Amino acid sequence: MAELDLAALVRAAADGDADAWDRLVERCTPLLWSIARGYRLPTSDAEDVVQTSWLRLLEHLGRLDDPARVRAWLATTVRRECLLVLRKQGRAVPTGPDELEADAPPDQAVGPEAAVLRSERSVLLARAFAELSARCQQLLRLLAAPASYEEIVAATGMRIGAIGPTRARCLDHLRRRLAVAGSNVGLAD
Amino acid sequence: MLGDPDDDRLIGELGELLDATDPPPARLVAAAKANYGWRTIDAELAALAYDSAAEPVPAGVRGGEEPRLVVFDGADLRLEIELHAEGPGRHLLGQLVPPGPAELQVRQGGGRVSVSADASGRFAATGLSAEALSLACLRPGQPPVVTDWVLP
Repeated sequence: MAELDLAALVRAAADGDADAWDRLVERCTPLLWSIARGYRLPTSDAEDVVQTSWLRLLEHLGRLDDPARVRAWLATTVRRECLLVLRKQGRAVPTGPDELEADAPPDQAVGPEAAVLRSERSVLLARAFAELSARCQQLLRLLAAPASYEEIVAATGMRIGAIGPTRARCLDHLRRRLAVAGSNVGLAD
Repeated sequence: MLGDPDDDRLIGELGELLDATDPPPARLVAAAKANYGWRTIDAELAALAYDSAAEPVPAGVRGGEEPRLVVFDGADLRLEIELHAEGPGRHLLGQLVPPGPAELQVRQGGGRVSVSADASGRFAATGLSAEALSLACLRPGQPPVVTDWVLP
């Protein structure tokens, strides 16, 4: 069965097709979740933010300028709601892409103890990821979602030209931490 | 953006790890799907135009003391809402511009709270939760207006 593209799903949902809405939710929620987690929101706040963003979209379904870019639209909305939650809680609000790096607490969600990880390699990767700066975690989460560069800009406010170099630097950090952890499995070359 | 295969592989591996350890909760996906029940067919939208919570707080001033002011603008109706927090509960005071009587519904969670605006366009709703909410406004002889959803 051919995948309907996102623009077609948006139009169908706007016309009353509940199945199209369900498929939109299934296809976009992982990205929205990765954005909320990238801002270090705990589970309940992350759920509220993503849920609110879907409700926001509902009223805009038939009004989007470019339905094909609905993921970027949602990403912008989630980012805005994340910043509101952080502000309400009196936590540091990242106003630029560098500020997440400063004093963010460690990401609890992906600690090695967060779930039963099947292989030693997974444990090492989780540990290496947890040691990265908040900014690197945020970007790598989005890349892994996977998010397009346009969606990353919408989700973070980063300049598009900064994504490539930051990606390379963050992957380098991740590899070095993996190497320190004594795992060179899969990292040859 | 030419993908280095090793980079792409590592990002893919990280994606699998995050899918396994921190996926979106199933109840969130179910709730997002159920949102479709709130779809309105013939209502006009009053879009979020101002939110005091999104304004920068001057240095040295702690937020959270003043009520939050949210403004929604529609084609011919503005709704100004003051949101008050009391622990996990919320209540709101509202003003319609132009002023006039109307029936309002606060749409939130699984239900609606109905309140009336008086002749000067004022209304109030209590007993709300911290979940996302939207207002629907019904005026005599006018199409219904719904606001954007906000997290109060």
